[in-house]
Amino acid sequence: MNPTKPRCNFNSPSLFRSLTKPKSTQIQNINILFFIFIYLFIELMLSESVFCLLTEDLLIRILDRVNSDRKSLRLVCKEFHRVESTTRKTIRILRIEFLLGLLQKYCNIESLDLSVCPRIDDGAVSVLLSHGSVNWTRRIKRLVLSRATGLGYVGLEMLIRACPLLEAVDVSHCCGYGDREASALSCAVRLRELNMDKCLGVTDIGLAKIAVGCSKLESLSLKWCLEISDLGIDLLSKKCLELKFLDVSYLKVTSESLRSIASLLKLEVFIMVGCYLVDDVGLRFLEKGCPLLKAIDVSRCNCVSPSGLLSVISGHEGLEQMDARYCLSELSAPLINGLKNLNHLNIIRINGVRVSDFILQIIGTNCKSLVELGLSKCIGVTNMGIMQVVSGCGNLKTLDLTCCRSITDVAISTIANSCPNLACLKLESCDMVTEVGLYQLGLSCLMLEELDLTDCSGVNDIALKYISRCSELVRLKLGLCTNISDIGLAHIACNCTKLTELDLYRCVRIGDDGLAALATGCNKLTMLNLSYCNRMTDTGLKCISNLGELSDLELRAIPNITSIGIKAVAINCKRLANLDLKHCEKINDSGFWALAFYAQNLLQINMSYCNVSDHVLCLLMSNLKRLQDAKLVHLTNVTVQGLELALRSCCGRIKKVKLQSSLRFSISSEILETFNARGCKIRWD
Amino acid sequence: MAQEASSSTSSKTISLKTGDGEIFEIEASAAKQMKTVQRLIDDLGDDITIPLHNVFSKELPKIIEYYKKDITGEITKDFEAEFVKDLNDDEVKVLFLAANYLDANKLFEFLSQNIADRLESKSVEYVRKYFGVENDFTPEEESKLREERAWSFRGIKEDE
Repeated sequence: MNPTKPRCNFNSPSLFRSLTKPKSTQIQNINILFFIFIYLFIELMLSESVFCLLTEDLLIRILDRVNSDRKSLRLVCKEFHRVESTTRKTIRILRIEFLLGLLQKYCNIESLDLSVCPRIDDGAVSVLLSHGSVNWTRRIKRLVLSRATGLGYVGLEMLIRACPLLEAVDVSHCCGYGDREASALSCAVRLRELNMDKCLGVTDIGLAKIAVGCSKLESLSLKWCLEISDLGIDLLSKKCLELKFLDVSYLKVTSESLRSIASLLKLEVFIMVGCYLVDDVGLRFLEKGCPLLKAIDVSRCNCVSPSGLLSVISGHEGLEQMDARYCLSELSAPLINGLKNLNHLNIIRINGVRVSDFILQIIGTNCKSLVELGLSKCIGVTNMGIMQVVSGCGNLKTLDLTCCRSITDVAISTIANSCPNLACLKLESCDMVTEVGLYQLGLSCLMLEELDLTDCSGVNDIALKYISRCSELVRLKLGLCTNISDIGLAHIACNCTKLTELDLYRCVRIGDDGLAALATGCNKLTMLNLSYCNRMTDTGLKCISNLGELSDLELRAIPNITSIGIKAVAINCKRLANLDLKHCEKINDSGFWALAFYAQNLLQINMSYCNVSDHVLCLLMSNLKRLQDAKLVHLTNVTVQGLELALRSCCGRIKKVKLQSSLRFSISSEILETFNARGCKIRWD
Repeated sequence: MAQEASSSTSSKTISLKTGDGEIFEIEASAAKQMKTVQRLIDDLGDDITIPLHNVFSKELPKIIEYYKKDITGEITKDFEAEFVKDLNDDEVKVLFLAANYLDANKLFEFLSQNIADRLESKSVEYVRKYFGVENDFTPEEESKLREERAWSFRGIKEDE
């Protein structure tokens, strides 16, 4: 039987065969209308994006490659939200209110950073770990708890025991940490990396627990753990044989420790800055030990002499990095000759040492693979010496000539012509450098990313015009360059569009016009220092507020800016994290009110000597939930009661406060004790 | 004789038939890069026309062009930029799905990166339209998620 064919074409005849039975005309018309609707509906379905065929694994492959804010992808639909939640690997939590909810959603995270989350303490951790199913800990490999001063050993142990796969922990700057916390850390059997910088209470006992418990340790940093002695280091060297990276800076260890450390056969990087009890005897132990040593740092070790350093070099021809800043007074001839054998040497930093043209010539002839040379504050650096070094080391990428005051344009021109790959050049206080040398720099060193011309009085607007040819510039320091003005700044703003850090400290001739040019040209700026630029007014500040990425802004002692400018910055610079308004006396309550309301990302603020009143200060301290560091010295309109109220409102969240010392005995001791108990430090000016 | 034989295997062409009935020729070495095709050749032999039901005559020439360049080792950044320059969003998507079907790894990685680049820093609405998905959150859920997103966390990719 032939069904009457409907007027339109589609692919499912069976569905409609039953409906096309001969009926009265009216019903047939209705049927036909019905078919038309169905047809249009199907058409609509098929014309939707072909990505209906997208499976989850394809979606993951695409989403993994999106670099920018992946968070916006979570809002697309429930499917995307679920996919993003299961594939997110790292998370850095800023607000404690969302902590529990977020951790329950993200069960596959491998790295958790709680260092900027305020109020993490034992109670918070026990809530996190007891609430419902604790899936989120099962894959965690890295925990960052730096500066989490509120967390004690109980909470720390709970957290570490809950994460079976833990490989890296960072508890640096938790100054109250001691042996009980070290014992908690030793529960992490798989631990490979541990950073305990500034855990001031850790002694040999704590270190021993870690050495015994975490035998797979590969990287350990113990800077400033002053209670540790040779005994602890000896045990460490016997138990943690996999160590590749060890930092014992500022510890009161002696040469005996180096005898133990020399037995660490896999050690590659050894840092001992400021170990003033270690001398050449200790370095001689290293000569035959640590066969894989690649980098050594003996900066600020007063008792080390060139012969000690020579022993280290003679034993390790594969050495790549040598740091001896501010410890040697001179380089002896044998040491210089010893450098000849180091064919892989990439980095030499000998700040503060006395050099000569001859020494620099030897370095230039023998260290051909040199990539970084640090001669900051060295005595005896002359044009001739520099020319000899750079003509031999054409691969130089970083050159530090801070305070090498004899350097002139001739040296700069030679540097420019010999080192086309130069990426970082530091010329702080090199007064004799002028636009002539910088012209060559702008011509030849087009890969230049960082340039420091602080306190170079020879830099003027024409020099800035030449420098602006280096369009890859990312960090530029022009502090104390009093001869530059808006014209020079406009050149930089025009061409250096990748600039993220700019320092114009005390550049008093910079005004609103220059800032307007900067705001249009360099929209990637994140750090800007305009302290003491006293020509600046609210107009300039309004232009600055257009820099959407700005996170660090220093505006010390600028007399003409008022609340109008600050309000614009507070509203528009959403990422503002660090603000310095010391001595800006014309800003009144309405400006600080705007900050309290809009600048929700502020981490640090300096309001010393500003005219804020009691209630606005209290509002500020209670509203800014991310504030961690506040400097509140000499607030003349704030009473003691007002200050106490403000401190109470941020207690437990904030980590550092600076107050004037005259108030030390006026503020109630109860508040001071609470602050101490919650891990917040008060500094007295 | 041996030399002739080896040259004939290297220049051997395989016939591919698309879903809409068109036939294209492709070199055997290029076909090796498309694992699905290679598997079909292994199963069916290499002298018959390989049917590809899910790839159509619009995409296949582009894919063949990519792999022609690949076997001579000429894929450069410029070629890749040129390759995607004139493609609109839909065409890239179709190519992406075809590359997935053909299991053509190199092209797949390249196109997934390209799509990710196109989505870089785009708004939520744009992403929805691009993938053709509907917003299935309730208004309350959505506002809660937005608040979370703004103030709660940052993912560390490189060095934050």
